[in-house]
This record gives sequence, C-alpha cells and structure tokens, in this order.
Amino acid sequence: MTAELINHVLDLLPAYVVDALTDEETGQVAEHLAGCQTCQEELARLQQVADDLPLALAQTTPPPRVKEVLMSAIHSRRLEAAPAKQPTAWQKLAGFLRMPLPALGLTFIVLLAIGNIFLLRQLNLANNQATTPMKVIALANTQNAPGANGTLIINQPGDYGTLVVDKLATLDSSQQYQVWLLNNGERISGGVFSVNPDGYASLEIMAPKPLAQFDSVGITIEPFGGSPGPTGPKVLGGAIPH
Amino acid sequence: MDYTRLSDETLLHLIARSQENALSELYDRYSRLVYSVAYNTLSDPGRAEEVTQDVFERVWEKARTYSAEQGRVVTWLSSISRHRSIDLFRKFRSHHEDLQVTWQEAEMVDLPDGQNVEWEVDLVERTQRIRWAVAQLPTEQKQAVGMAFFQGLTHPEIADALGEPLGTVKTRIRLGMQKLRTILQDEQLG
Repeated sequence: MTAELINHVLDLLPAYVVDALTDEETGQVAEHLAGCQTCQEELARLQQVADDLPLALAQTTPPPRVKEVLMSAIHSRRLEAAPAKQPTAWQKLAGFLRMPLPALGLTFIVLLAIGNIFLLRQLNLANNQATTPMKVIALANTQNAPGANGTLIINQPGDYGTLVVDKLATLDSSQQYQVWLLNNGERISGGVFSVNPDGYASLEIMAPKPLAQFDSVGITIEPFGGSPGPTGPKVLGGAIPH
Repeated sequence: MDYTRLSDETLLHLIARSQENALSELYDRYSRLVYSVAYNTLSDPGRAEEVTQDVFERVWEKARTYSAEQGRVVTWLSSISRHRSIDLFRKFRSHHEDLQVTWQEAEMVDLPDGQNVEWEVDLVERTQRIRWAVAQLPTEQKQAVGMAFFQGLTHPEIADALGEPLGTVKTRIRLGMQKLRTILQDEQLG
C-alpha cells in the first residue's frame, strides 16, 4: 500500500465517522480499513470524538408526559408477560373435596360438557393453524460468511418477525450486524445485533410497517450502533414471499 | 435500593430482569440527551417525543442483548436515538426546514450537590470536554459536522442545502473533526 493511498483514506476518515460520505466512498473506506492498522487507529480516535458529539448539543427536557406514557406502557407489557397466579393442584383438589355430594355430581356433568367443548375448540384451532401458518424464510449466506445460517420467522398477519442467526463470525467491538428491509428500492434498518461466541443471536425485527410488505431482507456488517444506510459487506439475505 | 448510585451497566442488567425502577432511573439520567438528539435532527417536538419513548421501549426489550464490550451505555442510547431520528428525518423531510443543529455554549457543568458517584463525575467531565472543544470550531465547521452527524446528510447534500461548493463542505468537516480530535487528545495527554 502506498503512502499516498493511506493519506487519501486518512483524509476521508473524519467524514466517515460522521456518515458524510456517499455509499460508494463509504464502501471504499471500509474496504481499505479492513487491511490498514494505521487507519484503524485513527478511526478509533475519531470515533471517540463522534461518540461524544451528542453531549455537546443544547439539551432540552422532554415533557413529563413522555415518561408517564412510557412507564405505563412498560408496566402493562410486564403484566401481560407475567403468568397469572394459578391455585396449586393441592388447593384445587382440597376445594373440590369440600363440595357437598349433589354439587359434586353436577360438577362432573359440567366438567364433561366443558371437556367436549374444549376438545372441539382444540380441533378447530389445529385446523386454522394448518391453513394460516407463519412464514419461515431461510436466508442464504454470501461469500463473506460461508457456513452462516439465518432464518426469519414472520407471524401470520405479517406484523412481527424474529430473526435467528447461527455461525456468524464474532465482530470486534467497533462493529455490529445490521438488518435491512427492502421495499421498492428503499432500504430501512430493521435493527442491529451482535452474536455470542458461537455466532448465534436472535432479534425481534422492528419496522414502521408490516414485515410481510417488504420484498427482501439483508444483513451487513456495520460500525457499532448501525449506519443510516448499508456500508459494509453483506453476510445473509433472502426474499420475503408475498 | 438507591438506583441513583448504580452504574449504567448495572441498571441495564436490572432492566433485563424487568425491573421498572431501573428503567425509570436510566430515563431520568439520559432522556434529555435522547430527546435533544431527536429534536436537533427532526426540529419537531412531537416526533422527538415519539423517538424518546421508542428508544427507551427498545432499551426495555433489548437490555439483555447489551454487553459492556459494545461501548458505553450513553453512546448506545444516543446512537439508537440518532439512527431512529435520521430514519424519520429522511421520511418526512421538507426542503424548507431549518437544518441547523444547536450546540450548547461551552460552560461549566456543575455536579449536583451531594455525594457524586462515578458515572455522574465521568459524564460531567466528558460533557464539559466535548462542549469546550466544539466551542473552539468556526461556526461553519460546527454547522457542517452537525448536519452530517445528526441529520444524516452527505457531503453533496450539505453543499446543496447550504449553496456552498462541494470541496468547501468536505474541507469544513475534515478540519472540524480533526481539530476536535486534536483538542481532546491534547487535553487527555496534558
């Protein structure tokens, strides 16, 4: 590598850390960085500056209602997620045995009827599930991640999705994987993630519209925290069938 | 438990275990920062509020995936806020809006009264350092750096918005960031 080329990329690094480069320039810098220790060290110094830039903004306090709405939403979500307290089997049995005999007989009849209705509902549910399955999309790996696996699971209405990846390379602390959702040539970020030492991660995909409305999904390597648009090498991708 | 004395990383550890008080404390620490990043990008208080709520809801959902090797919690939060805000900025941008970022005047930031904990001292020192360094830049360099970093605009987009030659904008960002790096590095060495 010539000194001239190193200088050239060093000059681009300030714009690289504040995302001012075009996609093409960003790709060139990322490619150069992969093999240049000098530029990586300069990048780390500039990245520290960029990381602190938000602290230099004039700060304003959000209205109190933002926290009230947030905490209320979180509290509701937590209650929904927590399983309802059920009486123990012994408590149920003790209550059952305390009933007078006529009530016990009536209870058996009611239980038999409920049992039949329950079985019928289970049967209907199984039939519905067979006709309205979730979409399971296997993602193909690229030459940048041979051996990596990825699966995107989208619920039946197409509103939510979960990405599961395995055998992706662990990245250094300055990088993360970023999910991209494509629709009519427009790319939006679906979130960033890191993998564990086995290369495994799962991620709930966030998008402003139902996932089923996107055409395809791709995963690239980006600077930590993600990029406004894809800049690094693609590792996994696949089409979302409509 | 006095949550105000816990480190950011410990708060995230507790949030991952569904402790609402830990989220409340993290919000009290960084909601101003998260909101200000969004407001400076979007120039719209309503959307900045949406982003702020969205960022902390994501923290609640994703706290389990955070690890200290990924960087500081404050950097993680401002990064989520910035990227979410830039996504919205691109979606709703009109070409007539104010693209200025408002930097804080360099001033001493007082530590709150009482026994200051490590996270608070560290945050105040870093805030003072970067504000002082940014204050050393010429207005044009601050403006160009702000438009790139907080509004996600590229060199040509900034040149177009300001009506300035492309080379001028490139030079402003390069010199601005290099000067900030030099000032902060010199201060650390000194």
